[in-house]
Amino acid sequence: MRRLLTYICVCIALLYGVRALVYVGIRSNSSGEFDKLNTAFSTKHETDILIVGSSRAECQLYPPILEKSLRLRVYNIGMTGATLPLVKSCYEAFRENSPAPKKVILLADIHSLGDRPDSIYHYPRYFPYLSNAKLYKGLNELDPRFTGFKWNAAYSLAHLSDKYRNAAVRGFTGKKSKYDYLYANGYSPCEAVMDDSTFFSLRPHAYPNRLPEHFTQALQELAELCRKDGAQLIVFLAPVHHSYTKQLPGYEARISELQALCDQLQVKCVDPVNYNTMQDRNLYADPAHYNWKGALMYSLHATKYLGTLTQ
Amino acid sequence: MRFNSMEFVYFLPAVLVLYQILPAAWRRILLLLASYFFYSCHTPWYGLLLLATTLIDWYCALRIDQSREANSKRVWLLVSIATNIGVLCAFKYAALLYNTFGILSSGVSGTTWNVWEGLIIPTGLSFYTFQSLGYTIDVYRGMRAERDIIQFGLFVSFFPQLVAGPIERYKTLGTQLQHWPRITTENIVAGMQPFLWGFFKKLVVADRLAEFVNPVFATPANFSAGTLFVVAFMFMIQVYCDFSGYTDIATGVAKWLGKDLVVNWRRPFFSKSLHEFWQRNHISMTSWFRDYLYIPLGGNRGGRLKHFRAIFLTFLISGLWHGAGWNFAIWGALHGFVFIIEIVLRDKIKLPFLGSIYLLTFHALSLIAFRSSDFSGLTEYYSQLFTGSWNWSELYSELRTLNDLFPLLLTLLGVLLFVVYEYCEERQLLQRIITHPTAALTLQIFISVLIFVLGNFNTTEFIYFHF
Repeated sequence: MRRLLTYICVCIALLYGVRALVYVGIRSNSSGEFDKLNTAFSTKHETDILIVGSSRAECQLYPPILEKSLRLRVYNIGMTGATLPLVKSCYEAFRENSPAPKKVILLADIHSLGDRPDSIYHYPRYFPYLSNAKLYKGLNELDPRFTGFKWNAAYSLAHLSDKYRNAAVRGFTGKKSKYDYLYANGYSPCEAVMDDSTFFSLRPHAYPNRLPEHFTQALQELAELCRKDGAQLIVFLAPVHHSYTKQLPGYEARISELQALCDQLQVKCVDPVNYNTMQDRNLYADPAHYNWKGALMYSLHATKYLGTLTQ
Repeated sequence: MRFNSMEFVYFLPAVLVLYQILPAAWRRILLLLASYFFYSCHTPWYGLLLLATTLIDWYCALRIDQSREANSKRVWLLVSIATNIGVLCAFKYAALLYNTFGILSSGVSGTTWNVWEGLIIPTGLSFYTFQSLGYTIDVYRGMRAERDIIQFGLFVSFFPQLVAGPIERYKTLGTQLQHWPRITTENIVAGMQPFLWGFFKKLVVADRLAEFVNPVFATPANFSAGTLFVVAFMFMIQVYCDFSGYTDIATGVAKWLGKDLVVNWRRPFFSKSLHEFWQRNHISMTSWFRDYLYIPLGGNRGGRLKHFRAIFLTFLISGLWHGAGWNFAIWGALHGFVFIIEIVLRDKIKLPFLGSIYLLTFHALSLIAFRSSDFSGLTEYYSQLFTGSWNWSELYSELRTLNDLFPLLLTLLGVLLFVVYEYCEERQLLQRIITHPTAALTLQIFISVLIFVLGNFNTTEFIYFHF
């Protein structure tokens, strides 16, 4: 029995030790996606404009362009696959360590309205930051497994794929990944390569016939948080290609509903490029994301619009 | 339920705790219920099929035992054989026969034939039907039939080895199922080593190799011959680690319950001939085919030609046992053919130092037939392997197109650790470590941590679940 207890205790201790080591490595990684996660959840970062949202925020707004033209500090904490409740939690988690920005730009993810709010895309990326109380609370509300991920070393290690082990090793060695070079202030390009036949035949998720409750509630809460912080929340409509939107029954109606909700919350809701323009196939990596060229054009339009606000 | 699933993480401790607190008389009922739950929690009708074949075999064996006339015994044996083979044919081989007939007849008539996908094969069907069938044959040969239906039901459905073996005999497992002692620390410690090493083989070696093997077998034409050659070896290690890993986990769990499963693997990669290989590889299946097929076919009696016919048919049928596809038959036939050649050349050629190289190369290349999805996949792989370019410099770049460098390095590390462990086991070095309490504990802790550090937990099924 003593031997069994020794085995269990030493194993548990070693697993916690290994996990702590992996997390330290990841938090030491100052490049690419992990630099963004560190900035968002574990370090103090002062910024004037904070971009929040899902992958459309992450890969469609390029902060250096905005910084150069507006002469303001801009950072993008858009998270791939994030639904609006998670976006709100990410903003709260950012605020745990960092002062409030002057403006918060939300790329309203009208495309992902059909996503289940309790599914967290690439959830292991948040594991090293669960000591951030706001992030942990927000994630746990969406997915109760996060209690296990925080407290059970074996459970969380089993979910950490090679990507995170590799990030930890790179964190200790200071070596960049080949995927890290295009990151800039949290921006990450969408590198999907898609042939035309796939592009034009891709089907979007099922679409709700009204703005979902979780979306409305999260937007209200985010607006309230920004108000308390003295930050101006601006909702940008995130463009997607027509080949996609034409398959979404009620897309226009959902946009109108969103605009009405923003009016009600006294939040600016703008379409900096007019979503009927910039429909050139060559600007898109896939129907739901601009490529590098499209992101630069969209960022220029956004800069122009923000310039008019700051004048 | 898979061993590498979250359900099993809850299921196993619950069963062990209940087993320990229940009175001895209730433990076998608990294990019977647990085994049926384990088997049918995702697809309840699987449990009904298992129950039906169990009841039929139990009843047939009883009638064989009670009958005094040879004819009557034979009739009940035939009922049992027909039931088990009938179930196997209906679920596993009907589509193969139907499609083969269809393709042949459409070739003659020139019409098109719609391929039938067949019924869904219940997990582990081949294992438990063979185990049950072996029991009725043993009773026919004079063994006493089990009167207690619960006892027999548990023999067929004992959850650690139900879905992927080893294929047990009633003489070995059945008799152990009469006693249900409490779980002891000694048994826990003894079962821990195979349990952990089984998970290591599955999660660190087999599932990591699968990430390279699967895409190459999906599109072999996209890869150079050198890559196909190396990936064939990778699959050889993958399938061994996957299957023997399952057996090791089953052995460990059974040990905790105080039961010893038969040794199913004795490091077959150290064999120097195909003959030796089949004495070390999937031993429970090999001995089943030997006792219930090869010997009834005549074995080595009645002249060389009859002997070779018995060998060839046994391998051919064992190939088809693995899967309902002509590629499996080809795999079995290849082994049968080379096995016969070895017998013919046994006294003429002696190259012991080349034995391992020959055996591993032949086994890896023959497994291409085993792994290919169908006959056309097999021909595509072989033709690319034997006619494609052998530019070894392409190997690294092609492997890198499948995955990043870091996972590739971790995979190689997993394989290296596996080879070192197997070598130590083969040279009896591991026995010295395992018998020393502190060294054994250190080794078990080391393996446990490695599983979580190097393991690939994107849960995939065990390959042999499909057989």
